[in-house]
Amino acid sequence: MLQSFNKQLQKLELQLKQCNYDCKIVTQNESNSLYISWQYSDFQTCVEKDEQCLDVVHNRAPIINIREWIVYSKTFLVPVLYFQVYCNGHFVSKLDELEQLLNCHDEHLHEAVGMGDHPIESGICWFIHPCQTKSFFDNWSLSINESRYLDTWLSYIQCKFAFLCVPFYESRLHATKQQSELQG
Amino acid sequence: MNKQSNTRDLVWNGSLSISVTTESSPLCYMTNIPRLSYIAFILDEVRKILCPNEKLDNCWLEFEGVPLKSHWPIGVLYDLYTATDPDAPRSPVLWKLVLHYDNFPASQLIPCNEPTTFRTLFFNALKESDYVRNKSASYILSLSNSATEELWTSIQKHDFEVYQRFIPRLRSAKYDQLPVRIYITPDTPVVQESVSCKETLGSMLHKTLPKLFPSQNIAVLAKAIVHGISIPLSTNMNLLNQELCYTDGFVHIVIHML
Repeated sequence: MLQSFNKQLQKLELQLKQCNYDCKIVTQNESNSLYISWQYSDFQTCVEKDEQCLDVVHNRAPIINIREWIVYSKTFLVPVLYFQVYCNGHFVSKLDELEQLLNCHDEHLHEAVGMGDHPIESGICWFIHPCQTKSFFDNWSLSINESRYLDTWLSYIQCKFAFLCVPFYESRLHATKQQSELQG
Repeated sequence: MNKQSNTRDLVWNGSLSISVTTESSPLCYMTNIPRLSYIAFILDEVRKILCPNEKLDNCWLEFEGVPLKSHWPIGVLYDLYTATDPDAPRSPVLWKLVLHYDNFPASQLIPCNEPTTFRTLFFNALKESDYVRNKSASYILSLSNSATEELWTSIQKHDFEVYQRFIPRLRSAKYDQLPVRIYITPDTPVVQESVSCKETLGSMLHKTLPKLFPSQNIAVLAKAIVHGISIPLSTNMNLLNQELCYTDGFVHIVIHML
């Protein structure tokens, strides 16, 4: 059953690599997951004077690194997005801090995002609750064997958690553009 | 008292003696804590006695340099980190832990400073275990607010009389699949599986961890420990579910190398 899903993960990995994202397929207990690491860009400008008293614009935004994993849940039978956020090298473990850093203020965030044991590594991480995802796919009658399953799931996640889906959005945009150029 | 309820009583009443010290205090916190309980339930009490001026945010317990996860059952932590062989004769043990209140290992431990944090975690686990059994978290989600409070309080206070009212639905024998968590070493990720009730422990472990359990029938390289007891590989998974399930609905199995 997961053969098609694994192929879709591999296709996504390729698309992400074409956009120069650091990503790889991780295999554990005969299951494949997609890992991606990227830097969240934000700009908080400040203007300072240099030695010649000229104005220089600096970006004083904190350095935010995001590590994400797309893992197929054997419990809920849907993909789950797990993620870790690091701010200036420090692991973000409070939801309020996450909201502020990623500018993702949403009253439903506290219900939608949880923290738990990392499914691939030995630490902890955030994850997006998968319970609603199952209902979404049931309503669509979309099978995991269909080639657009992973893309559909990404679109669903992106609607609610765009701040986590930047690489996926970019890579799909890039792939669409490439396809248009080929057809054109 | 029938055999089944006797086993459940023994499991419910299983406890560990622990002592907690900290660098800055001459005091020592000592208690018996149920194996089914969690560090999250006692951390604030420990803090108030040993370092009342420190914030709960920054507090964490450690054993031999390893941070202890406050959201794992304490019996699992003991079996995993001490690797005490249940089959070897030994004297009663006092598990010595250390309290820290700085350098919180944020990527390893979930902070339990908010009262709702651990409760949310616990109920997420319970919903997931319910989902495995029922193909939906319908039982847990259908609990009224007062029933949810009752269940939570019974777990916090370790009140079997109240908790047992929830057992029939939580661990009914009619389910096909059981949720299992397997702990191999302290630094490997937990293996979580949904397993068939009809399997034996040996067949399940042989399928899930074939390198550690090359045989379904004989523990050649490793053995399975649940609640500090070495479990024969011939044990039926449904029996583990009925008798040895934890309060979060999972059967937690620690693997010890032979």
